[in-house]
Amino acid sequence: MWTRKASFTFTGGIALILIGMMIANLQMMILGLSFIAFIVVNSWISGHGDVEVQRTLSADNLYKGDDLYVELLVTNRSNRNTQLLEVYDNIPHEMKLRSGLNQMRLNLRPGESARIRYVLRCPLRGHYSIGPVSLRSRNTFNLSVDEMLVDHHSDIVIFPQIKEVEEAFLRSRTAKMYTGATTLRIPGQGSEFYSLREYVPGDPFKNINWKAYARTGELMVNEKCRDAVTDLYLLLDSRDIARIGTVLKNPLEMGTVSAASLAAFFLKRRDSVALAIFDDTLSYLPPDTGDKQYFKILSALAGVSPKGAMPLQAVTNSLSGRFSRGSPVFIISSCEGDGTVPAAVRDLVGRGHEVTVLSPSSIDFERLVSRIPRMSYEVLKLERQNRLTTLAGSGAMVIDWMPDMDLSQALMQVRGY
Amino acid sequence: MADEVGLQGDVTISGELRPRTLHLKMLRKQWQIITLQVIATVALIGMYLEIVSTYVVGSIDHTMLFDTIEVLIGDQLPIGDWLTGEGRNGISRFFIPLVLGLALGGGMALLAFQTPAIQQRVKLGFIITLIVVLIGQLLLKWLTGMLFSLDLRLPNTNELSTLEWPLLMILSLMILFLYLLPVIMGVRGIWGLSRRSVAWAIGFTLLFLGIHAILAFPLINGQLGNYGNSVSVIGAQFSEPTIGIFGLMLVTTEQFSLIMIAILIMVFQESSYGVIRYLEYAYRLPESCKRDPEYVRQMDNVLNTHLKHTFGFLGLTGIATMVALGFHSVLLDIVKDSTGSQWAGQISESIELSLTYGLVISAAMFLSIMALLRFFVPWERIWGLIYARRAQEAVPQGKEIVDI
Amino acid sequence: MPDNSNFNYRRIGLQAAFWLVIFLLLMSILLNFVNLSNTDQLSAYDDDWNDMSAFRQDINDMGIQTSSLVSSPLLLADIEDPRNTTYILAGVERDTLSLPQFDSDGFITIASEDGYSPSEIDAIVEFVDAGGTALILDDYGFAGSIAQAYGVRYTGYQLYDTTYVQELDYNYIWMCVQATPCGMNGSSVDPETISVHERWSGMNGEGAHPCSLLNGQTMLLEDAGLCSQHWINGEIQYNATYQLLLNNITALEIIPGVNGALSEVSIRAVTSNEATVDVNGDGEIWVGDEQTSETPDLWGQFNLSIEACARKSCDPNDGGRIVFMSDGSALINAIYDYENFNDPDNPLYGTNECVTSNEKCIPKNDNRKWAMDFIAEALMSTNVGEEGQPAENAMVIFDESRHSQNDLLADSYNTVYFLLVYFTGEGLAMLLLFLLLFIAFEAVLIKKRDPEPWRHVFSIIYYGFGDANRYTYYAKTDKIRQVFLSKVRNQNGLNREEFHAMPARELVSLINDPVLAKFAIEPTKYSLEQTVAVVKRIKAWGRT
Repeated sequence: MWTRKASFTFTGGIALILIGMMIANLQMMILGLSFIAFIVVNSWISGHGDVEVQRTLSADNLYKGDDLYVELLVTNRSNRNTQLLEVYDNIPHEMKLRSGLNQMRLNLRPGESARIRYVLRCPLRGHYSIGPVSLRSRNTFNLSVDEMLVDHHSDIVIFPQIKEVEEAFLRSRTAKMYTGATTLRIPGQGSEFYSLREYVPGDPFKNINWKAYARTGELMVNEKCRDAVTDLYLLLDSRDIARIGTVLKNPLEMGTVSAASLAAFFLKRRDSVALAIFDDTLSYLPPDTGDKQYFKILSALAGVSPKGAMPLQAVTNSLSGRFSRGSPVFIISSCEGDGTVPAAVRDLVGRGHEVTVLSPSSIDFERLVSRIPRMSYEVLKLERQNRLTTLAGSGAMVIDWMPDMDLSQALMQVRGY
Repeated sequence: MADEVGLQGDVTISGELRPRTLHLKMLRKQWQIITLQVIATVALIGMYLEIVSTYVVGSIDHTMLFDTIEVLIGDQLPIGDWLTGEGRNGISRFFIPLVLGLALGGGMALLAFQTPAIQQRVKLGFIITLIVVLIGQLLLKWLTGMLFSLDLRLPNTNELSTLEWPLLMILSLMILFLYLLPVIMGVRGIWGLSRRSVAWAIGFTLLFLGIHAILAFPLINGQLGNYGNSVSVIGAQFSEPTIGIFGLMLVTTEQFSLIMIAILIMVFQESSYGVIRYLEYAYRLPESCKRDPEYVRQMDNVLNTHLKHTFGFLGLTGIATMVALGFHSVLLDIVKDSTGSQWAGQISESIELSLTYGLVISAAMFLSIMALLRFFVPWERIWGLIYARRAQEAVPQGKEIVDI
Repeated sequence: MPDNSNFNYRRIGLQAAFWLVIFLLLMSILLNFVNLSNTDQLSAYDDDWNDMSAFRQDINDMGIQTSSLVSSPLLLADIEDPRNTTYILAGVERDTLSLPQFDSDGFITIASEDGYSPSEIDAIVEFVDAGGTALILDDYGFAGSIAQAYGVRYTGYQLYDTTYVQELDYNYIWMCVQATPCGMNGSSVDPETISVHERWSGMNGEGAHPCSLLNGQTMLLEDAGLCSQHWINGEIQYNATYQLLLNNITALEIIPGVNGALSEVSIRAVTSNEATVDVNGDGEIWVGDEQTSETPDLWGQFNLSIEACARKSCDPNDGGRIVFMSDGSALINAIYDYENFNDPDNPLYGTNECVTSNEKCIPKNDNRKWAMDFIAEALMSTNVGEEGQPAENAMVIFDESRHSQNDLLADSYNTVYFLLVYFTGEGLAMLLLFLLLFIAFEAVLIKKRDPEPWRHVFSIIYYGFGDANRYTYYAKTDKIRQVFLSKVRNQNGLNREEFHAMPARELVSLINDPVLAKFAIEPTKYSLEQTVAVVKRIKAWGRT
């Protein structure tokens, strides 16, 4: 494709020739002919050839705010020079270039390669795709430009940030309910000592208490207390109303951070964690333990986006039957725009679940982006307080989470009934 | 015993490695950039000399203007003849002024890289000097005159006559400046990295050629009377070609100098803009990329290619233009050798072919054939195959094992 | 990358199709404009019996350069030395292309009635004014507009005279280039009626032919130069009698009351007094004292050749001159080179009745002598010592632009040239061209955009706004009241039914604040300040 310069040069050449003929001026005609000859000569060279592109990422998954190292290897596989080639690696606009540059001007000889290295940071969770690679080959004198795309993508998942919450739970005013694997006073698989008993064939040798044997002369084994693992249920509100606020500070973002942090904490303690996300549909990840479950939860949280208006009661009606009896339930929701929240909470409490409502204050998030008149703001806050009080009165532990409050700080402010 | 390793270019005397970066301070001194700038300067000078020798010398050059002014004022101009080139013949009149122009343009370019404070000081100094030169003598004489006569009065004729020399001097310098404008602006643009100055230089040149073309147009030339005679006119009918390649005579001497003007304009333009473009690109790179050896290497590749293409393509353009202009004689031969039809006979002797029309049509035909040929001649593939074969045939140098 | 290569093939295919369509369009346009004709004649570059190659050869043999003009007489403006250039137009067989142009009044006109456009006629006139010599040989073609520029008109009707060649037919008529008409004596021209060229003979005192000045001088044939046709036995014997043979002629008239471009218009040859003009073209002559429908034809004496000069002397150094002749075929090979035409042993111009059966042979004539003398007068050098030799830049230009071609490509080529010359020579066309170029530049400036430089823009600007419409609702007293009452209910752990069933007195005691109690119970209007105060109070209520 001709550039503007080439078009001007060509048109100018024709014009000079014709005007030169009009006024019988040889210089103009020769100037015009030279311009056109210049374009013709340059048209003989076309660049690009066969370019191969390979991208390497330092990781496929990252946490929000971490750095991603990207290396793009561009190789000229053809038998001719690429001429002036601009390579541009398309990166999502949500990612910030920390260092380096995602583009380069190069001219590769046959077989030659070039590396483009740059570092990205993504302040937002989500599923992203780096690529495709845009190539633009230019004539040396900027007379022609050809663009093409190398459809090479690299997918990356940015997980929500994980905050440390252990201290918050330790210092919390409420009873220590969430202590990870709970030891039951019955013999079984576990880590805590229960009693000594006689050795029976089949007992693992590592359980033999040699001190007791030395004392008594009889083979005795250590019997342990059975560990009971808690099933924790996280219900994350991803309705459309959760988008209110800035891109980094809105109920959904706070909710994903808190869900991820809680999941990390409990999974580390070998509890099993389940995740339910409700927006316009209900997505449910059954409880499980281990790194795999952790990855699944983080992936699910990475892809969540605010949409829909599913009421909480529909969620609890649908899922409460699957909940293990007495297991704790965390509801992460602003509780705005949903009149079924108290009933849902009551229902859960009635079934014997320990319900904690972690409620990001959507009014304060809204205040970050809109100018709410003072009086309306106070009344909205009052109404929210009423709502939370109702929930607390239903038997749930309610946390009013302000935008400027850290998660651990928020968890420490749990209000009991 | 193995030879000692020679000092590498980027290793300082103290032995520290100074890696190449794309910082402007270092890039500006890179040999490719300097070469391009030198090429641009040489092209500018060549273009200027070619234009003046074709259109200006002997018809409207500055020495003739100075002579006219000297006749009008009845006295010599304050500016020395050795400076203006008066008394010399032909193109040599322009040599000293050209050097002046280069120096002035270079000075302006140097000034552009100084700090704003220095620039301001220099400009201020220049203006003050100008004012002092212009009215300094007058003021001195007048004030002292008033002081001695203790009389407040306007300057008398004697005192006013002191304005004569500076005014004439300034006029002469302005005339020289006007004649040397393309050179001054061009040098400033090349070495001061100013796109605008380069554009001005090209613009002035084309403007001059345009105005000359209009004045040389018979209808208008006739209206100019005696002044019209001083405008040099290149005739529309051509003599036999005397310059060519590979034994083929293609163009006349006149046409060749006109082609040179066109090619040199393009060389100047492409080289100067190219330098500015690459330095701008390097300047805009983030700090980490400026230090990245990969970027440095590719910048080398790009600059080397630009150099090769400047010589290659623009040289080819000149040759293509020459061949295009001489193509009509090829056409004539083809027509003559063809069936001897009435049309062939008419065309072979047609006046169009000896005027510019035939020239242009045949040139356009040649260029069209050249443009179309690329679709039929896969020369890039051929070149690539040759290159690949050369790369395969190149035997890798084995390590020489030296007995100690 | 298979997708890319498919894309390339498609692109090449599209380009090829595009160019093919353009080519076909161009061909169809050309076919509409180009008139292919099977009769090519009167060309100086063809050697048929009805072409003029012998004349051109003779000019070349005299050492004068010949050129052809295939596009348009507009090019005559580019001739550097019109004084030493002769323009010969033999037969205008084709009309000009009707293209818009300025006419003499400065208005835009499209149609040109006769073979040349006003600009082309102006170009010929300016050429002659600049000292050039022009010879217009035409009969029934399109040369009328050129003649009109000089106050001369071609009648366009066939002329018959008693002075015809009886061995051939009545179409072949003798023209004596002299003031008086010549007559016949039997089958040949009566010698007693033959006179000399009025001007060339010098009988007027001025305008004598330059060869007459060399009359009687002895010299070698090689030194005779342009007067070699008068060289006899080692000396120049200039003879000013010219007996030309014409074929299928018309008559010339001087338009009364019209001042042409040149002031001195002279009649150089006339018919006898018994010539007739077939006005209605029926091949029959019906004449009478008056021209009526029954006697539509004319009879009398008519002009056969008219010369217009800048000065009476017609000296080429004093200005240009133009000669009109009423026969386009006066210099064709058959007549001009009659000897070779009639030669049975080596007929240069194909077989003819004279060659095969010695019938209808072209008689001896002075066409060649006259033509050579015409060229000699126009192009002889005036430098001392170069008498009889051609001038340094002497050139003869044959106008081939109005001769039909029988080859499409040939005609197209000439048409392209014509268009090129038109667009760079004609005033209106130049304006149009300027306009087109301007539009092209503007189009490039506006439409042609270079691709934007790549730049990564980090952008996560996003604002999730709530429903701002509810803000006013929440400032209303009723809503504030409702919120307060909910707070009271929640604070006291009552459900809705219990709360609604509670009497007002009990409510007041629950609230335990007279201002808030009044606010809760009485639906009065509150000002903004009062509402604000109430809200503050509500906020503080229940904290202690």
